[in-house]
Amino acid sequence: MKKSLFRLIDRFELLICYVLCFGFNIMFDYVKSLSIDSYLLQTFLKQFYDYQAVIIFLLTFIVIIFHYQMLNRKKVEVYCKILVGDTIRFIIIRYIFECLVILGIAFVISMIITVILGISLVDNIYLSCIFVVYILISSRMVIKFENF
Amino acid sequence: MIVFSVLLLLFLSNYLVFIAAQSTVSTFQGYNEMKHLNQAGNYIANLDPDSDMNMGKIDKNDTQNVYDYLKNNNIRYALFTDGFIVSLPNAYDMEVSFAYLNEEYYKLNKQFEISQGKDLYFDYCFDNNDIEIPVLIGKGLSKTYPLGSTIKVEDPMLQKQITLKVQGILKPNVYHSNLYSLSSKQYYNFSVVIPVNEAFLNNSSVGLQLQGLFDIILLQTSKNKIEGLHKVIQDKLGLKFNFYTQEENFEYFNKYYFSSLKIITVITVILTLILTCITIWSSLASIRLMIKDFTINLFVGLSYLKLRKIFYDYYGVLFFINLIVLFIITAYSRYGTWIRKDASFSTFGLFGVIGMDWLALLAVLFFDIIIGIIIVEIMLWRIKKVPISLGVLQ
Repeated sequence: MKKSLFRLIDRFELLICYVLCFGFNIMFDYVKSLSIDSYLLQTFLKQFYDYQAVIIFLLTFIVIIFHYQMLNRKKVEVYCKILVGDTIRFIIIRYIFECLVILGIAFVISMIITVILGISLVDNIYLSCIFVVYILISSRMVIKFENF
Repeated sequence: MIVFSVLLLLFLSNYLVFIAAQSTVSTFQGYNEMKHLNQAGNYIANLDPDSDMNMGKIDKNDTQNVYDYLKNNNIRYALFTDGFIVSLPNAYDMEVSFAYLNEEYYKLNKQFEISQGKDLYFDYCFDNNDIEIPVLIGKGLSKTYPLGSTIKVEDPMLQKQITLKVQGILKPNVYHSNLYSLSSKQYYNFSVVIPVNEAFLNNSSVGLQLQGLFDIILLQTSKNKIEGLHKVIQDKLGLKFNFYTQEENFEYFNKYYFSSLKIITVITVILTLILTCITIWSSLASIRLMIKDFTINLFVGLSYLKLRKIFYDYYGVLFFINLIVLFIITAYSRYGTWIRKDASFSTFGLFGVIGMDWLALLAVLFFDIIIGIIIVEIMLWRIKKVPISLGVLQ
């Protein structure tokens, strides 16, 4: 924990970003599963869940923004850590591990909600895969900071 | 990267506001139209959803009996039915649909406004050998069939050759809302509006008589007469009809539409708030990254006033791009109906974009101005919070 690149506020921000994406996804799935008899409401909502995949994908961009801006702010910190004996390999492993733990927490929260609402979990699993890819790509950014 | 994301987030909230505004405007247009029909003493017919439906069994005598009952009991009624496709050559190569209405409906519903020519009249001579009927046509047909011209066509309801005389041309984008889904409407740019009088109705096929009954409006009548009619329809046609009074209809509209509109408004407000918060968060993230550059620039002479102007210009461009994209999407869906030759939904305007869309775009513009001010002021507040020396050191 002490050697982590994350501060408490960063962890909190990342968790909120994940929860927001999962939350929107659950909301779409839940609304789809409802039987709405109002035509007006149905057409209004249809215009959104027709584009569910696109909207959710666009929302995942907030996670990219988070990774990008956080790592950019930590440039000097990474360099200083290496100066005092840390290795880039361990920094990356710790970073990936911590991101995965936060993702895990968000996923468990979303899983509990989907079970309570009785909707499919498949979409959220796909979404988690996208986030894992983002984590792996962003970890490559850390390597660049080795030579400040 | 962040710019792109902020642009997309803003676009999502703009799209949301646009759809909500468009649905609301469309519903209110429908509601205003219904107010003309739904007056005190009027009863609007509606086929009971649980009623058995066997159209094949109903013949002309059965429906004629119902109309005879209406006549014998002096019940005035407004009749309107449409959607009968006729092949009529025209400049846009669109399918033409015929709409039939009687005098009461024409007077009651003031939707069919004309831009050229004269109003419809219903006391034309219905002679079996040579029938000439004055009609109103949609704007889309006015090039091929100008005012005063005649159209020889086989009428789908009379099933014989008749002559239609163009009496007037409808204003562009005349619409009629669905009675039970106020936000859905169709346009009459490629329609022929045919006046129906008693002789016409008596000579028409069972199709017009039956379709006419589905949305018939009984004017200034009493509950007793309605009950009689209810029985006649049940006996002769085997159909169960409900006749709703003005209060019942308004109750239905209030319960059904205003609760839906309320839900739409709540969803829009909540989602817009969330999206706005994310947008502000993204903008602050970019400030966090660039705080050093900002402070250095402020240090060498950039004033807050100039910085504010730069931010407003920047967000102005983002919002402008969003509005253009929204316009393109709307125009694409409206113009698409022209490409698909979907006559009932084709509208006249810049790429088919009509008043309702412009109003929704205006709502988005208003929303953008407010959001823009909030975001820029928060960003400036964030920059001002950093003492200059600290900003440079960071």
